[in-house]
Amino acid sequence: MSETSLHANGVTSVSMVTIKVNGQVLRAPEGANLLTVLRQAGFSVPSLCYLEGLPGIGACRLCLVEIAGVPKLQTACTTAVRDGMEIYTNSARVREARREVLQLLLGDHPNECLFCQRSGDCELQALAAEYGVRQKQYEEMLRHFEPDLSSPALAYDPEKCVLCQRCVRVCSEVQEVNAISLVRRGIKTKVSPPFEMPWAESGCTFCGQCTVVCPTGALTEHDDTARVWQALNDPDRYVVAQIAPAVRVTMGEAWADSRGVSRDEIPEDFSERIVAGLKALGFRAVFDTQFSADLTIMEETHEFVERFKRGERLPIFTSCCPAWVRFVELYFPEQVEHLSSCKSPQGMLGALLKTYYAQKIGVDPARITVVSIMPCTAKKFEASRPELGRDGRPDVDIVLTSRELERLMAQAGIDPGKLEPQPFDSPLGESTGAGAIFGASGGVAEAALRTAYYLVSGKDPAPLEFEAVRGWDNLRTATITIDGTAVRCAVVSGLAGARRLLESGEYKQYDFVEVMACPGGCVDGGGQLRPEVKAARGLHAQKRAAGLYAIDQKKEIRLSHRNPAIQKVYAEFLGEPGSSTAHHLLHTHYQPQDAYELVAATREKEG
Amino acid sequence: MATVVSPVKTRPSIIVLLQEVQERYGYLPREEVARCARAAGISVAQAYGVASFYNFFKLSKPGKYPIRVCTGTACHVQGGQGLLERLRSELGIEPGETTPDGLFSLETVACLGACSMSPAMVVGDDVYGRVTPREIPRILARYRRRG
Amino acid sequence: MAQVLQIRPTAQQHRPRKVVAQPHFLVGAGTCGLAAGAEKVIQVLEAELAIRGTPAVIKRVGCMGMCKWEVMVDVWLPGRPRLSFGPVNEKNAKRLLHEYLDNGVVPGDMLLGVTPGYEEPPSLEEMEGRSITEEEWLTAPIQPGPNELPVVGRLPLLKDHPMMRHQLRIVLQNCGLIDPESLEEYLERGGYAGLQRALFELSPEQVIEEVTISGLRGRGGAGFPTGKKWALARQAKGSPKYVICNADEGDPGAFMDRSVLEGDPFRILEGMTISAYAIGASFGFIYVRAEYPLAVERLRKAIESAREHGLLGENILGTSFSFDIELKIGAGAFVCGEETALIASVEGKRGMPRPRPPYPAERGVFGCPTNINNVETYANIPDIVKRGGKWFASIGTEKSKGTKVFALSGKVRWSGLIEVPMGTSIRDIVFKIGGGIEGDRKFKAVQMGGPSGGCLPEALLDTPVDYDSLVAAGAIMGSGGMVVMDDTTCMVDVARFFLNFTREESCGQCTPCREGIARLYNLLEEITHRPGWNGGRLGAAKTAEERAALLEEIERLGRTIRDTSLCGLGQTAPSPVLSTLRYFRDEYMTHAVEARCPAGRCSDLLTYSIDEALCQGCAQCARSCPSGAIGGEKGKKYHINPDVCIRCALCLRVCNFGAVKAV
Repeated sequence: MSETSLHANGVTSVSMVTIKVNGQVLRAPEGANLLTVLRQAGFSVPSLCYLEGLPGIGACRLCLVEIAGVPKLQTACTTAVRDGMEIYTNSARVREARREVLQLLLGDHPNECLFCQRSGDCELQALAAEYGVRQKQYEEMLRHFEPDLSSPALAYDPEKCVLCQRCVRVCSEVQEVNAISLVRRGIKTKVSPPFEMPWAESGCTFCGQCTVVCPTGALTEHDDTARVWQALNDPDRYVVAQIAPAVRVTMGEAWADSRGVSRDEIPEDFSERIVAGLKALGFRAVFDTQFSADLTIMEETHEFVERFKRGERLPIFTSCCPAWVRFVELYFPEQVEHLSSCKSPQGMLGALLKTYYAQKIGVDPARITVVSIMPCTAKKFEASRPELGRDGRPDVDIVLTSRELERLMAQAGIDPGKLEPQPFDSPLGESTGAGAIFGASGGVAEAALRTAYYLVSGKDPAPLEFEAVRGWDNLRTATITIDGTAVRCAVVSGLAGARRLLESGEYKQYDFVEVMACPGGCVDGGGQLRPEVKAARGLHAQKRAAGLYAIDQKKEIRLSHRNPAIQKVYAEFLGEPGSSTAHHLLHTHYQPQDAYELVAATREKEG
Repeated sequence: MATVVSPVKTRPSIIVLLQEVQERYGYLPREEVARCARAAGISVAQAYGVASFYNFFKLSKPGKYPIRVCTGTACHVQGGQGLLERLRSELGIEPGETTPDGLFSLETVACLGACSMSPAMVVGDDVYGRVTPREIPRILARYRRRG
Repeated sequence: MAQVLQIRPTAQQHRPRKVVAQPHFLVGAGTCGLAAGAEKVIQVLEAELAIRGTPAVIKRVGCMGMCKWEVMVDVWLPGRPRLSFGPVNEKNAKRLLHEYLDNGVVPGDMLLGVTPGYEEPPSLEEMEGRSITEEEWLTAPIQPGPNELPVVGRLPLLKDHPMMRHQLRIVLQNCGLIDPESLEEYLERGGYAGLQRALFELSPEQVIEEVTISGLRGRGGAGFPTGKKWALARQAKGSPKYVICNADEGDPGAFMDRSVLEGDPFRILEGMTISAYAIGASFGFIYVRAEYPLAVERLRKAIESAREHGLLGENILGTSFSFDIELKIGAGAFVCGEETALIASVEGKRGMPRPRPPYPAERGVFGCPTNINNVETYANIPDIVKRGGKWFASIGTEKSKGTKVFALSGKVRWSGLIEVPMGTSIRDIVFKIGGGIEGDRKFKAVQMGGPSGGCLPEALLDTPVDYDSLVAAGAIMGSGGMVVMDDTTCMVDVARFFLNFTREESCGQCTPCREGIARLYNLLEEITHRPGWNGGRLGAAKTAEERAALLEEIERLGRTIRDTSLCGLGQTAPSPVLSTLRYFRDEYMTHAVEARCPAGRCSDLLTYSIDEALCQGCAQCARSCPSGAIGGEKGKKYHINPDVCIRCALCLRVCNFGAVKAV
């Protein structure tokens, strides 16, 4: 599987030619995308529809440039570099045309910047400033749509949509889920799930990649910061938090500036600063999802080794990614049996917090509010699943994405970058390096292999690193030999690769399959901070992953089964991996539901 | 060039499939759109994207009592828009749609030729002239009772 | 195969059919003929012939393009020339049989002329040798009857009919003459001789060479040289290759392609087959509108018939060349006339255009090299290959060769489907072929190219019909819609009509087209209404100055849409506005500044009054007035209170005495 992934830069030609941009001579690969070339050379050319790594579609018409000898203005995103091209990116004619197009977009965009989640982080808003728009040319909105807040994960306001199609293209060309499409046409065109049905009932996996690429406030995570404030302000609530691995190598991007740290460095572990920030807000305790990642490894590896020995329902599919789980349920319902019955680390920690921890501190679990800080929108959906709760209450009450964490801190006027680091609370706060790498594609497989090696052979592997499962291709495979037994592993990142693996039947060749729905894994999750608009996609995620591997490297303990806190919780509470208590608290079941039937069965408006 | 090379056609075109459904039912029922999508190897969202793009496809079953609201000049001036707004909110549907109970569908027409009774609308076969938005619930109730 | 070889046409075998063995009745039964009652006429003919017990053949043929004279019936009796009659209806059909079939007397009032036996389209020289001068036509005493045509000394030829005499028919040469469902008749008219020459005498490159020499340019609107297009598709790497016939004729008021498909479907199949041979394709699609059921039916039968006779399928005419065609029925989207949108639709997707390059010649349907031409372009191919590119290049102007088919309509005396050599002036088309303006009103403008085209004023009537002159004048050749307007047409209203159309048909993908056209339409709404209408919702322009400034805004926005849209639909959508604004700016000004519509079309800008001299006091107007603005007493004069009047124009429409005036 050597498909061009989102991370490839799309430049295949090696023949370099000379072009002239605004009078300046430039060397560029022949046939390369002109917009990419211009941006890389530092020329600012706006575009709302272009997505680095995918072919340009020329929809927004903002990247218009003047090319000598070509009478009409051309969209740079659909132009290939030719030798001797003379390009003007900023002539009066170009700026005027862009301003006109921009006015047309603004005319049909609500005047809600003051209240919009994306204010300050909106590409349309930034362009209006860049082009000196001080007045709307067209006052009346031409489109009138209702927002869709049906889903616990995503919020959609079609009136803010500029129809750039980035979301549709990420969903189809990158993820190949195709849960949404353009519907109707002309001024009535809209991005929507089928039949313009509520998002929650559609074939969406809630991976949230669409919310990362949306240039405006049209598609965002379902904002839950207000619910956090409400819980914190309620004296009866005992509010605790957990922080996912990928979040700690990401938040520096939001707060680095205040500390004078360059965004280009390998990100440092921000977890203890986030703990400090959350404590400052009034959280009673902050725990580490990396701890429950270690716990997941204990349970999942145990399950795997049992199934492997019996040759039962192989391969085992990892189940820590809720978008992937939803994807299997919807699109490959017959393969649901392959999913590990383990809850995700978020779910496991939630369950422990409302039982083991509640007992320990002597607080009624009904009073505890568990807030997860996740790189992910699908985690919001996961937390809302009825299987992940007890006594009618969810194990995880509120899920905040990285972006909401940034917002929460800003609302409180706190810059965690300036705070003194504080350690996680005990005992559900200690983790190993194996738990840390859960946030990068291949990390779950690697952590599992480390422990599986021990479970099968009684020895720890040396070296600990399984380099073969690391990397950025959307499919990586490796055969690991443990005591003479070959374990065939596949690691998939991105749902497109997952679809191909399942559709082709290739998955049957493996014993252990790790899938993360987002390309690159949780480091590039749908709830993560958006990368710089014009940056090559994927680079920021690679840096974040490097940050996680650095954490692993620095950890004294890098094997989940060696985590003393894990050993303690088994000794005190769970018994042993796979025990009935463990099953009751840490395992779940699935709801296969064919997406075609699901969507067709939703109540038809016309009865 | 010895043989006719047929187009790459492992799957039928969704447009052709939907045309057959439309032919059979007069509109595109949801289950049928889903069935066609599966047969064409695409998602339902993509199939709906196609179906809603072309004029030929009707997305909802016409109601038992189709309501046609005149948007001609005379009716426009006499507040036809108000009628339409009221119908929208009473029925919870947009022009081109049908109520969930299948009783009413809503559409606008350029002129009913009843300008002297403007604003005018037609419910089923009954023409209503000089209608005020207030009267709408009463008129609708009449048909609901009839079922 | 034996059967194929038996009927295989060679240039020498074409024998114009001069005689028939039994009476033939050929009824124009295209969509227009059918609408005019062709089926009823056929029923009458069948019944009458049955009464007489006369063995006769009744055939449905395509459209001659003479709409005014529909239903047209050709009667061809043994030993007699073929005569065209029209308009024929249920009543006079009986008389036609009685007078001509029974008694051998030609009913002069119904006669349109002698239709020649099957023959090639004339050369230019041949066109000169007329059997009767136009002068004679126009000055001869007119016999009583509806068709205004004279019968002088001998029977006139149909081709000398005033509407026909300035035409040169290549594309339409068979339309209305042959049975469109009969391959045999197409072969008799020289059909498939072009394909035969291509397959047996020319290499694919030589075919392209002939087409290049002919100077044929795409008839769909933009006029790209066809030979060049084919050469690109031939050179393109990749297989399989496809040919597509664009029969998604969607302009309101255009029906050229429909008539050709209905009247001469084999011509299209032959043109496509030659194209496939030339570029190296083995499969083709005809993308035809669902709104043309008759064309679909005729094409379906023609494809079947061609397959049966080895003219489609494996080893065409016994050669190693194989090619087949599939019909794709459109689902209703004007934008699918744009070639990349059409490709998307053939592939079963939303018909949204994509940027070019890559052109379809490199990457077309299913990502393969594809040649797309429209119906009229393919219709020219058989004759170009048969008679040589040089022959074709001898017709037309320096840069625009051959002929062009137009759907002539609007306020013209004789509307219909016409075909003229390139270079013919618009004046000749309107005043000679079209017979001038209906009702002796004043010519105002001619609209060409539909929603993508523009309006040309009287001063530009002498503009020759060729690609470049029309573009220079602000119109386009377009696919061939030509709507004539007189002084009762409001140019702002016309522009608004077309914008409403493109607004509905925009695919919605790119910003300027989706948002811009809707805004432009709103601006036209604004100036065609009184200030403050609609609660001033659309804009704040109230004063004369502010409203005059709207014209600048219209112009600027129009240019933006033209210059920045993704595809041809958006780029040309402002043309109806920009061209009328260019030639009829005063009219726009009058609307905007004086809030007045000189043509009396924009009802919100008119003031209504009742001419007491004409009012009969019937109260019709008062009864119909929705606002109670009309007062008076039955039997006496009525009057309109302008302060109460809502300008719905209803009284104007209901008054039987023309007493209501709107200025």
